[in-house]
Amino acid sequence: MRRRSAIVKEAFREIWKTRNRFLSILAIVAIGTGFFAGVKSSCPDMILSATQYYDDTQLSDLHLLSTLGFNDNDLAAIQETDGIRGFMPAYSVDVMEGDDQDSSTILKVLSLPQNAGSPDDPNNLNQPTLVEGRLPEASGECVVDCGMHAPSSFTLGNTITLRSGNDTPLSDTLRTDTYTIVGIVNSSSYINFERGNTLLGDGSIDAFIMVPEEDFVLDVYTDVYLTLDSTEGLSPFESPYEDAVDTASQELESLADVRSQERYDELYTQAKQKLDDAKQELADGEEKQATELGDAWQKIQDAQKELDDGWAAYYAGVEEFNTKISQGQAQIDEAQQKIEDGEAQYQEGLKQYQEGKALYDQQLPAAWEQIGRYENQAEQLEQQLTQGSQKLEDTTLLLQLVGQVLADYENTYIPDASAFPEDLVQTLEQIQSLSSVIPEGTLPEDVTLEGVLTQYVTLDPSDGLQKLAKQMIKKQADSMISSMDEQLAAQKQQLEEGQNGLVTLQTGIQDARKQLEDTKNQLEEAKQALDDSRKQLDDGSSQLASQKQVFASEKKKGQEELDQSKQKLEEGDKALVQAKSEYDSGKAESDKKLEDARNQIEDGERQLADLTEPTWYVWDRSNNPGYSNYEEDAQKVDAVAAVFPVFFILVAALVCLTTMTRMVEEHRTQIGTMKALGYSRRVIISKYLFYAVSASFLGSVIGLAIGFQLFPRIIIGAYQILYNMPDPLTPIHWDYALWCTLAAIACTGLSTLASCYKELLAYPAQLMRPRAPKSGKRVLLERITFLWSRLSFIYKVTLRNLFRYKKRILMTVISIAGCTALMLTGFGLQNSIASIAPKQFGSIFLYDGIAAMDDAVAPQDVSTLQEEMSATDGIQDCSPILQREMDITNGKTVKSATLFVPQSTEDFPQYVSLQERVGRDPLSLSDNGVILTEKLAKMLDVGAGDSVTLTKPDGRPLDTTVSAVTENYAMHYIYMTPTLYGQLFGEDPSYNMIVFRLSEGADQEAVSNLLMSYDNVLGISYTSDFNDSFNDTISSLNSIVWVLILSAGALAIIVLYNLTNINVNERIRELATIKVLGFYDREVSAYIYRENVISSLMGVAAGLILGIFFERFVIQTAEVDAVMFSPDIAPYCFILSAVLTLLFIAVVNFTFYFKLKKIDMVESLKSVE
Amino acid sequence: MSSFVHLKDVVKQYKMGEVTITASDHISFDIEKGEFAVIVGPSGAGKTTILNILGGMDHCDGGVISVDGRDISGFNARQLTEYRRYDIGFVFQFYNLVPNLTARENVELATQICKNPMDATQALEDVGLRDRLDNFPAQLSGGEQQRVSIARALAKRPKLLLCDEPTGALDYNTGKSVLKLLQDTCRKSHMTVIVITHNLALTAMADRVIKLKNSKVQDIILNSNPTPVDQIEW
Repeated sequence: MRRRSAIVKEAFREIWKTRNRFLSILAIVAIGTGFFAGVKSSCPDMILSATQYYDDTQLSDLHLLSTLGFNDNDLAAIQETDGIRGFMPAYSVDVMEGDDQDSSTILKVLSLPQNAGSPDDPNNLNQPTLVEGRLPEASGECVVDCGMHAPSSFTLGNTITLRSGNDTPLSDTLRTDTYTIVGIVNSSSYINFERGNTLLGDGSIDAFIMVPEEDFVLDVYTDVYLTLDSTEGLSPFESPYEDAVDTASQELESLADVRSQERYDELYTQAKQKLDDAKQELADGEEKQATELGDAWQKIQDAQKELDDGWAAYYAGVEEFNTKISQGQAQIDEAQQKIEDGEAQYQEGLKQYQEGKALYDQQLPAAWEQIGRYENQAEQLEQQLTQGSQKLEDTTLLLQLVGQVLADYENTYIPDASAFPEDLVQTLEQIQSLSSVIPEGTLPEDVTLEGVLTQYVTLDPSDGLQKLAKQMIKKQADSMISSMDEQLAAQKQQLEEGQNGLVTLQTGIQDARKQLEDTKNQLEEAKQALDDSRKQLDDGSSQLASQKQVFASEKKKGQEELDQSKQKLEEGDKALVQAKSEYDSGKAESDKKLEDARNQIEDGERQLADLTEPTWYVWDRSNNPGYSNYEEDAQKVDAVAAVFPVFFILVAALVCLTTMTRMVEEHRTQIGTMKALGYSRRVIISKYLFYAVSASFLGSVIGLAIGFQLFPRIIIGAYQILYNMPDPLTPIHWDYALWCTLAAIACTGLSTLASCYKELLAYPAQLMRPRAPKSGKRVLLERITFLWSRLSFIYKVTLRNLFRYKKRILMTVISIAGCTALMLTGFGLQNSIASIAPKQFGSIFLYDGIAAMDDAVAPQDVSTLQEEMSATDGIQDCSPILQREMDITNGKTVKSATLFVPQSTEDFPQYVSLQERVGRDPLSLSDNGVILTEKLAKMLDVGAGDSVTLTKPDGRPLDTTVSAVTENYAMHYIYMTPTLYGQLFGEDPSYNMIVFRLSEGADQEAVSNLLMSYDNVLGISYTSDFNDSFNDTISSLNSIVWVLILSAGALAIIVLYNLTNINVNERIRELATIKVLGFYDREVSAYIYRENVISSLMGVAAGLILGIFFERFVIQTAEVDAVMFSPDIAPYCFILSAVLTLLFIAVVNFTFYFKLKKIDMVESLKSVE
Repeated sequence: MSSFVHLKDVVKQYKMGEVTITASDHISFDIEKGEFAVIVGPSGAGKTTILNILGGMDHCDGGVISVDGRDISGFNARQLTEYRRYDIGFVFQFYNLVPNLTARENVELATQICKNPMDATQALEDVGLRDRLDNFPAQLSGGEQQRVSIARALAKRPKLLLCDEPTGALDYNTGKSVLKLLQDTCRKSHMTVIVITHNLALTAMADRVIKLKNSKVQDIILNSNPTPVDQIEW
């Protein structure tokens, strides 16, 4: 007993004496187990918190929906199914918030059951948890979503207005459209930010509101929520639960099949009955219409006939009348014409006569004058002729006389002129009288013919001279005679002609006279004729006038008669038209009625034809996005928990092992002594075991106590930014606690046992002798002489020491490497996450915003809008694009991604930069294939050249080729050219968005307001908004990162401290010696630090390399599907983790400065133990 | 003018809880330059305390200690370190060689920090270890290790060589040769050597013997004719 107590006392003293060592074991175990258990329990705690939350709020296990809703028969059938614990039929409808069309907030309106106030009612499922206010108590009150996307109007006491988002009026669904907010709630159905999808608006619901059930006016329930007996007490994230739900949902699905058919039959029968009735009605209506309208029509037909006859008669009469009139008129016209012709002729004749007369009267004096002139002429001419013939006779006589004279006195002569015979004198006289006829010039001047002849006669022919004169005269006279003769002949001729002319003239005068007389006679005759015809004409005219008078009166009479009958007919017509229009409107009316009835029947028939069996959807919780995301997140935490805590435990175990081994070695002599004293092995071992186990047990307890609270709270706290959940539950997980403690105890205990056992195998004498000092060894480096010789002496020592204590240096390197690696992982993770947004929205999406348009905007409106936008202040440029959610598959995996088709492939690089992540080679869109984003390609396991299948909204698969893979961090996109789109989809892309870039310094809000004023613009979103919300979301991960970094730091500090401590203790004599030798404190510290620094640097280097792999692993496990964490670690992460590690090392070294300073030099005087 | 080493009324007390132990009780002695002094006494007589104080490893609580005319009793830690560094050569009972360094390197460990040290090789040659320069302590015998230790102390050219039971861990012959080395060193290089031992046999070889008992100086014997080590038997 005493022995025992001595041993126990000694053990406690040992602990007290070496409290630093004890505490360091304790701390390292605490950190190891605390971190392990804490991080490990985070996932279960997350699950547990959710489970509790689900249980408390009685979240339904199954959610049933039907395309036609649930009627009473359906509900009864569901309720009769076995194993239903809770049953809650409910209503829901998706609506738009606000009464103006601009508001695009989509709300899901849920019904709150009447028993909403009783949380224990098993049929009160999906209970909201009040954050503020109270549950609705009256119609028109509501509680609203507390979620982060809830509109700002969601504050207590506010009133919200709802409107329908589709063709169905809101009043078909809800009693009122105005609700007062009386409470703000969370719902376990919506634990994350997602609120589900809808057919309205942009397709995603923003928030929910809950209104009393009685505010719904629907005939049938839209939803049925169930909890199951079989799931009671099961964890909703484990397979027994899933199996139980599966079983129930299979049962319900088979019920669904039955009920669907029955419901179909019910509906079909109803609809058919209704349709048949309607058809009967229609048939009746048609018959009725046929008879009634038939009669009316007959009457109208008769009347029409009568009228037609009347009209025919009338027209015949009119025709006859017209014929007659026209005949009469024609006659009159003819007569008139004749008279007019006669008149005209008369007038013409009269005119001719008057003209003739006038002419005659006018010409008459001249004619007479002319005739007088002609007569004068004729007289003159006669006179001239008489004169001429006289002259001719005179001339002839003259010539005869001359000739006679000549001839007579040619050979004779009368010498005296006085002696001349009478006759001769006479002749000469005659000649003399006649000589005037001699033309002038014939004789010379002053020469007269009688004179010549006298001379001639007087000349004696006998006398020669005389004779000659005689002859000459004769000759001259002869020539004169002959010329006179000629003249005479000519004159004779002339005279004859004049004679003839006179005759002609006289005849002409005669004729003219006659003519004048004739003319006069003719004129008189014409006058007589004219007068005759005048008389005739006047007679005709008076005759015609009377005729006309008769005709006119007859015509008038006929016309009057006709008019009367026409009027009658027209009245008849009017009446008929009236009757007809009455008939038509009546017919139209009844036709319309019948048409309506027919349409109704047609609709009814179509409906009947379209009437498909209602589809029931049996949804379990995996259809709740919050539930599945939460499970995934929890699993991700678990994945992180899989590596790091193990690493911590491993390091802690190694350190404990080293420490305990060292301790046992230090106690060699003591062990030997005790053994020599006769203590049993068991007792000796138990001391060290006690030491080790108590340290690790205490450490474990402390570590677990802190770890179970700290780590789950931090990690879940970080995730709770993403989830609306009550405070996390962090119970002690006894299994983890037990295992951790056992592991820690086993680790230290076993290492102690092993060391003790080694020592105990030796004989006490051996043990009591100082252990042979570990011999110095030449290190490999010394073989490299030139390098070794260059090292300073101090470094030689350091290196030798380093290589001497390989185990320890390995430990240091491992733990420092671990620390650095963890920190690098932490920083890398932080950096990867934090750089997503800047990379995605800074260097990949270069556009600043997107304007969403209606889906059905015509292409020309798109370009109009584009032009408008381009001209808007603050917008640098813009381009239309098509974005559409689409499933893409590699044949095995199906992923959802956004199809992105730019209108202009050339401009596209201005808005989205497509490039390879590695190498930054820019990519361009081509018609040969689509460009996928990196994460999408990775998830589908496809690369450039592989083929993928897109699924059209109608379900038709479209095969295409991947042309390239582009860098991308958030969401998944399929980039495609419009041409390829056209080829694949067989239609031109209908652009539904416009991406735009802002000009520098543009005010977003102002631009938004401008843009929203344009037609077709539904909404504006900016990448900066995404950026912000993205940053909010990921900042939650930062705290996890800090946990990692701080834990790593703590681990590094404790490990390093512990190891340095061992190192120092082991070499305390050496240190004391060099102190005695006169080393300054600084130099003594440096002696140890150098080793620490070198091993730490090796650790840091190893850690930086190890960290790359750690980070990659964590990123792969922690990454969510929609996001790709940047796998590159920024250089600053390396620097920061290295610097921080070195800082921790410095802290440890600094604390050792004082410890080293305190080393007692007297130690050097002690013997080797 | 006082002696080379001068102690006057040196008091050192250790407080162990309630109990105060007086390790040096007004100790006074003088050692002249070049003397080979032996401080001798049974266990617990206060030899080590004197060594500690004289070696600059500890403070005294009272009295005066001067070495080569300098009063070291008032030195602070830094000055004491310098004193150890430049003025004192220390030979330990257990040699206290750094096991990880060769013989020469162990000597160099000391010469590294001195102002005017001997060549390490020379120092080792002087102690007769010319052939063992590059051997690790573990490869050397005890006597050889102690010779390395002495070489290490001498290489610093100290004013005072303090030897703490230099033969304590050595066998008789080896111990003798080590002592001879010390005596020769003292004689040849006029080094002041103080050897601390419990072995009264060694007193014969000393110029001056200081006997301690119960923390007090019991006797100081001046030996005008010291016996050479070879002739001493124990």
